[in-house]
Amino acid sequence: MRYAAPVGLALTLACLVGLDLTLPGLGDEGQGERALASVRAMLSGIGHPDLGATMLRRVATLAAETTAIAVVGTAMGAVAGLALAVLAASPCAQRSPSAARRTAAEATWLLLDGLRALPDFVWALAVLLVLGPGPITGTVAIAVSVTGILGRAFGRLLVAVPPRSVRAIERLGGSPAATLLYGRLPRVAPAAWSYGLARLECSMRNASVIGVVGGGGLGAELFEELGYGRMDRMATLLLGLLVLTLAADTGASVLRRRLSAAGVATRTAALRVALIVVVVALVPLLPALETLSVTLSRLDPRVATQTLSRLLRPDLSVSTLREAALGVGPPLALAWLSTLLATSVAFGVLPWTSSVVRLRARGPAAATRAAAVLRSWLLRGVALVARGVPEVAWLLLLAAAMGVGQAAALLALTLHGAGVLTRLFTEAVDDRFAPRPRERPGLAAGTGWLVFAALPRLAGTLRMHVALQGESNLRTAYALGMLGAGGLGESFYGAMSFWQLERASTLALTMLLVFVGLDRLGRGLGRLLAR
Amino acid sequence: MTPALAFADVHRSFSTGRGVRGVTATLGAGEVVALVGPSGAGKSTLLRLAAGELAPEAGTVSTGGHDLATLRGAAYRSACDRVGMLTQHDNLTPGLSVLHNVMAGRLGRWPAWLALRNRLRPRAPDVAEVESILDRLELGDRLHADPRELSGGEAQRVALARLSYQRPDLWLADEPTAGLDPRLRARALALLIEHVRDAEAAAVVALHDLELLDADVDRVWGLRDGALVFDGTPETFGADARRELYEARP
Repeated sequence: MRYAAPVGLALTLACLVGLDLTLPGLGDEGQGERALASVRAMLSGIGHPDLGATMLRRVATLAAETTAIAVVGTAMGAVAGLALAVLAASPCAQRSPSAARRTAAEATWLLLDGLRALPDFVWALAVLLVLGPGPITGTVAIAVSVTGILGRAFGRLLVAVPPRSVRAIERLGGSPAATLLYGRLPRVAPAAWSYGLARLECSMRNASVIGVVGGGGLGAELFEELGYGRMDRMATLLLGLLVLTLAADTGASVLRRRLSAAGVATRTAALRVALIVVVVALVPLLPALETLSVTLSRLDPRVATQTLSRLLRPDLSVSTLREAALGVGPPLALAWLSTLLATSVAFGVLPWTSSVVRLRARGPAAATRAAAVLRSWLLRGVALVARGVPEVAWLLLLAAAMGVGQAAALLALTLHGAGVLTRLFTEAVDDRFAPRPRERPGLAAGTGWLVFAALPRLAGTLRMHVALQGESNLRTAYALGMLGAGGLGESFYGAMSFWQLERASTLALTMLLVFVGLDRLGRGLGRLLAR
Repeated sequence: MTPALAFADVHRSFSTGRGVRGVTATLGAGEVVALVGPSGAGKSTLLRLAAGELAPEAGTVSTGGHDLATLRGAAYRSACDRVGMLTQHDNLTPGLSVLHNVMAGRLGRWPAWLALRNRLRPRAPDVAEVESILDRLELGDRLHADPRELSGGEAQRVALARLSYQRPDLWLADEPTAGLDPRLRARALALLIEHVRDAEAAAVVALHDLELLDADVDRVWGLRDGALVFDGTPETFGADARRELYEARP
């Protein structure tokens, strides 16, 4: 702990020096004017979106497709993740697990880590090789990523069930599968629902931009209209995207709260509703499924096998390894700096966003209180929009003014991350310290109370939120790299575009190793801190 | 006839110094025994040895002719199905409806597909059987409740319903009434023994409260410091025997 501050400072300085934070769009005077003109055009487009019937119909169709990609992808990922989680957690459900079973479980944990290490953008490019562009590619890419993320979360929940609490079921002599169905799964169901809904919310955001790399939905067209400079149509698409992500944000949050307090009957009903929703969500994907069957029937198995075998044979030449090693820096630096900045912003606004700080304060004048409420809602609204726009969309929008580069990527990651962390920090404080009914306002509230009383008690929760956001930022930094922010992502995109599959494989493996390595390092540090 | 449960010179110790020492006792089929003794005498250890959860350090434990601690896989699971256990807490799975909690009693007999099928969409005859058991225990209206919504007494009755549905040959109950309101204890114990008698099963019921010895049991086992110091009928378990069992040692 003693070295945390100097090490953190040194890392931050290294990141600042290492990243190229100049603005490529503002190199000389002429470029500066062009950038200004494009910002003006964008703002004017946003002020006058195309609200014609044809455009609105198009946006509605694409929004339905985006929702379908997110819902079906998340559902597929949740089912596959659960199956893998069960396998990974199986040794603790057995009386004396065999060595083979333990090895299989360890391999499954590794597989889950591998699946969640790479962003859905990377998976989309890999799926693209076989299925071609379209919503099915986006669905599969999201499903693969969600399998890893939810699979590990479910697995950890299953492992954490106290053995004593399932002994009564184990004693009945059921098979391990039966013990799981009647003992462990019902215990983890509320938390699993919560994780699943949170992931669905993220999937909605990701699905709205996965079209940028050929995954269907709103993203493809948004990228296209932005490229052609048709800002009025871009604005309509952006509005559609915002409506979708904000609806997912609030809807998932309400459902999560309801379900975490719900009984067995409500959860069973929720599962039925979820099944119906998934079936309905398949409808917008039906045309794509028809096209897919044609693509698959034309697929030459030899070419597919050859592609797969090339992907499984990483290029270990010195030049590629050097490229991979050098590419590690930018995403790591982007993730570190953006997490640091987003955390600072979220802490900075907390005294104004948290309703508890306001409620606990000894009653100021009514007018002051009203202003505080207004300020709180305003800041929460800003945070809602900041996280409602996915990082990729932020990067594309900022690129108009700043050019695509690491500065824009850093800002995109920070804006989105600050929105997410503001909500998580605010909820953490408000949930824990909400005054009970009829409780009189506290003695000490305000920023002092927050810093010296509330935050130390929430340190563990907040640290976990920041760590998870850092993890997500690293994954997204790889994806932003693919759009021009440099590092491993950019190299990977280049390798895939030139069909250099062995090189792409090395770069993807490096992304994976960095992610898993950091995860293990973080866990080790966590254990050290806990001691 | 194979005894329902047999201990032969069983030893099992813990780092705390507690455990059981040289216990030898036999329980015949259909016999109900009350296991009594002060706290820490080894009652729970003896029950866990009988259920195969603990292996003895010396001696043998035979449940229905099987040494549970040495069995593995399907043989262990099948033997488990013949033994039912009721504890003070943690009998039920929260988040699983009362219906499914009771149905879990047959997990040892069901193949995996049937366990899955009944978890997703229970078969009508199975539901009817569970309903009739719950009705008898005045819990017919709690079929779809979450165990977290039940009172302590109701939860114990649901656990009893599960044992009735399981129909094991040997029932083990570890202070099953300890968490209940004192006024309900005698009734709860009578209900348990009534169900054991109906199922024509054998039972070992560990009791802390001596007043409960008015219950309908065939024999009494008295444990003190891990050793079996009394084995006789309730009539012979008089004031002297009780004093010897519970009196503090110098």
